[in-house]
Amino acid sequence: MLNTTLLNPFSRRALRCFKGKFSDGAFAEARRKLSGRQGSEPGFEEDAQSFFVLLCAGALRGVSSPAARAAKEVIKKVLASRIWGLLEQRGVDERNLDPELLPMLLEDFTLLPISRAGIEPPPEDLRLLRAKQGEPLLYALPWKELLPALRSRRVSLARLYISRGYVLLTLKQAIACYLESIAERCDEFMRLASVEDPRLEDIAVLLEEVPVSRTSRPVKLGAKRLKEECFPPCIRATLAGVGSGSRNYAITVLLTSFISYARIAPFNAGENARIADFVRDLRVVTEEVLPVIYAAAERCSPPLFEDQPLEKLNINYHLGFGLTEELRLEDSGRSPWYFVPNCEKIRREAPSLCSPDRHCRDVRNPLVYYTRRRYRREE
Amino acid sequence: MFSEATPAERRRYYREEWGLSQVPDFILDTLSEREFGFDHTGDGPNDRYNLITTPAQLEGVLISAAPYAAYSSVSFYSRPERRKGWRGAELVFDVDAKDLPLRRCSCVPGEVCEVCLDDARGYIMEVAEVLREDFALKELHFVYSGRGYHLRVLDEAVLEMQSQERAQVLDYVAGGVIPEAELLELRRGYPRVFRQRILRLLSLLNREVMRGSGIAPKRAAALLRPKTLRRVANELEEGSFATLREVLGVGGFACFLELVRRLNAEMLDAKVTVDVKRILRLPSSLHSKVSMKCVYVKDIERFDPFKHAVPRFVRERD
Repeated sequence: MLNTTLLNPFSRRALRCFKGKFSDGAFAEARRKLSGRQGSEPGFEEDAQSFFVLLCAGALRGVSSPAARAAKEVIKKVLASRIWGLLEQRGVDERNLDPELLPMLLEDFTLLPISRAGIEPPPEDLRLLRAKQGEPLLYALPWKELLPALRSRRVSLARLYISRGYVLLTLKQAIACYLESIAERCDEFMRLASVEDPRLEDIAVLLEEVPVSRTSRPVKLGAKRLKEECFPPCIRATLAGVGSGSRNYAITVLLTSFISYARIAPFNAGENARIADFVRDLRVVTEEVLPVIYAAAERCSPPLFEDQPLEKLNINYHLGFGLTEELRLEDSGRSPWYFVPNCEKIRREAPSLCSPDRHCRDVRNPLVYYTRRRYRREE
Repeated sequence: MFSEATPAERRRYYREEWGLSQVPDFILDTLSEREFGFDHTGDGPNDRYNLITTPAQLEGVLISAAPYAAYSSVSFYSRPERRKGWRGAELVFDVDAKDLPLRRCSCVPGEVCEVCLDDARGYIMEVAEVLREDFALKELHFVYSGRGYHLRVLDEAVLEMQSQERAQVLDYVAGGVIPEAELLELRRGYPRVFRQRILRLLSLLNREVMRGSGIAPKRAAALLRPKTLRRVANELEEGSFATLREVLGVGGFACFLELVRRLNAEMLDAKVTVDVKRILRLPSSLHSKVSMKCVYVKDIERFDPFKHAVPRFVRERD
């Protein structure tokens, strides 16, 4: 066997080591992985269990928590270092790499050397890709192997070189794709994990101390009056009035959620938020939120309420008051207070509204666009 | 044609013209795994959660009810009558001729003519080509929906895909993402798809479309000169953007790519692709609003809706 080092924590052999309880050795090994210290090689079972310890500890705080993200980062880092270590042991560099080596190392990952996939990219493409990526294309991966990574948007199909059912990859890309597929399996595992062991709490605390990449610094601002000049392009387009195809979505779903959250709870509204949790006087809804929405509905072509008067009820429903004509604070929470849809969803539902400007870069939700611009202005 | 079918015409269609042989095998073979929906009044498919287990039962329902519209799910369930036990779903692309963002004809949004329908057919063929060449998908089925085309993919690789993956495939085939600048000129892969989408749009561009895109009017006018457009098209075929960059300038070129991306994103109805529990018009059923048949298309290159999708009662109306 070429390799006895564990490179896939979800291989059949590794999964057999997960018995719902962990040895002390597994906890010690998890701590070692977290600290990044070198140490003596762990036994296979201890090693495999330590990955599950990290994941179960991360899951204690929730799959999207910083602890869970840290668990994945640590696992990816350990595996990457092992893969590169094994390649280096064999004296691998760009010039002498045997393309068969990596596919042999990575279990359950259908990676092929390009030559075996029967694909010959045009030489011009190979030159362009090499100039961009700094290394040659070596591997072919059936595109469906990437589905887990596509699901989590860690990988974008449009940024890959795809031909005849295969994604063609450099050595670095192949390893990165492998690690992303492992990360996705970590998420799946954490969603289902339910191990009760008091020792996991200590690991969770350690995970919370691991620095993980954040897309933006946290901002602290309270709810304030709306500033239209900070609205993103999709909201400005909606306020200007929308044509018949996208009217309902633009007004009832997008604008209603955006204006209400931007005015009432621009930061950290949390799950299951209700307007009543943030305001004591409904005039903020009736005098500041609804007039903006109604005016935009009037500017639609044809005006939204002219042929669909019931949409007013629907707007109240989306604000969380249920299907009602009269708004009462005590009814807040009768229906969900719909959160602002993400940019990707808006592009899908109403593509004509999405004309990104330079501030849209790195923004995935219109509300983030608004809060960032407002925050920077006030800074 | 394009005027609503009367209840009597619907009944006549299902009794005299409709036949089980017009329902494609990919649906007949999976009847009991699909949810069926019906619209009896023209207000939308309100009669849902129906289980149909045999072709004879389907025949009985359609002939006796002569619905305004009939639908079946793209998804497969263990209990379709409750929409429970989701087992997978076809990957579907829907181009609706009435919603094309750019047209060769003078139809306004919401209207359809022979030219729009032909553009929709050409476009769905381009989508299929990308699915075949880049994704190596083979089980592609075309359906004329009455006012556009559905492309239904049944390869095993796609059935279990969730909405997020479907959205990524959609972006790829539609050209809904601007390629990386350094790789725009790749011969294969996504940049080629994006260039093909530009080529299709070039002949449809006009000043009005380009207004508001951020491209300076003078540069837009320069691009729209027939000679320039021809040169740009020839270069794009070869993978080059030289003239386009030169004519539009750096800023204008970026705005142009963004305009293309936005128009591309409007070509396909994204909601249909990402919805893994969607119901779609049943091939062979009647699209009563426009009095056309929803037809399973065996030869998309030769398909002509005005020959193959017009019910007899429409031909005999006058």
